[in-house]
Amino acid sequence: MELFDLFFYIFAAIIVVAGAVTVLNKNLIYSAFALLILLSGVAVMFFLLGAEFLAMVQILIYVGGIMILVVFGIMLTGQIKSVPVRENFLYLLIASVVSGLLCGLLVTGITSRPAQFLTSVVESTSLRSLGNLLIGKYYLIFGILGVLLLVILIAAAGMARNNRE
Amino acid sequence: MVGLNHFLVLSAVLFCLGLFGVITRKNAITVLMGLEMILNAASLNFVAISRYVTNAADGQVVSLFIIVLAASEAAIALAIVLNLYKNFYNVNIDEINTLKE
Repeated sequence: MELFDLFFYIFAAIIVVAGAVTVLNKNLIYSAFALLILLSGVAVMFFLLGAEFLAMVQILIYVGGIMILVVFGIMLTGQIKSVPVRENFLYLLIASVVSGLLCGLLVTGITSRPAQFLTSVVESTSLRSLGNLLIGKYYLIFGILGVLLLVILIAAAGMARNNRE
Repeated sequence: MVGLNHFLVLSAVLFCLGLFGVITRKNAITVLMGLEMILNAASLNFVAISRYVTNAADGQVVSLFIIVLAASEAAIALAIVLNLYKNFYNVNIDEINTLKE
C-alpha cells in the first residue's frame, strides 16, 4: 500500500512536469520528447490501476506509433527550433484564465466529494473478461472501429502522397 | 492513501494543461500534442472510474477505443499538416486561412 502511494506521487509529478514542458517549451523536439515521457507516465498509471493490457497498448500505440508520426511531422515540416509560442498577450491571458479557472473548478469539485478507496489495490482485471467484452457487449463498436482504421489507412496514404506531378 | 480522487485530480490537471497548449500554440503539430494530452486525461478517467466504482472492465474497453481513435486522428492530422506545408510552406494555423493557395 505504501509503495503504491509512493509510485503514484512520483509518476504524477513526472506527468505534470512533462505536460508543462510539452506545453511551454519553444523547441518542438523537446516538446515531443516531453510528450513521450508523459505518455509513458500515463502507461504507468494504467499499471497502477490494474490495467496491464491497456498499459502495454498505450506504450505500443502511443509511444511506438503516434510519437513516431509526430516526430516525422516535425522533421518533415522543418520547424524545429524556436517555434514561437503565441506572443499575443491577449491569447496568453485568455488561455491562463480559462484553463486555470477550469482546473480550479474541477479540483474543488472532485475534492469536495468523499474520497473512495479500495481495500485491495494490486488486483488486475483479467484479460479474459476484457476480450469477452470486446467481442460480446461491444462487438458492434469493435467492428466499426476496424472498418474505420482501414478507411483511415487508405485516406492518410492517399492524402500524404505527392500528386503534384 | 491514494484513492479515486487523486487520479481524477491528476487527469483534471492534465486536461487543463492540454487545453492551455491548444489555445496558446501556433504550430499545428503542437496543437495536435495538446489534443493527445486531453485524450489521455479522458482515458485515464475512464480506467480509474471503472477500477474504483464499478470494478468491471468496461472502462478499459472504452479506453482502448479512445486509443484507436487517437491513432487514426493523429494519422489524418499529420497527412493534412504535410499537405499544408506543401502548399503554404509553413504550418502556422494563424496564417493558414484559405482553402486554396
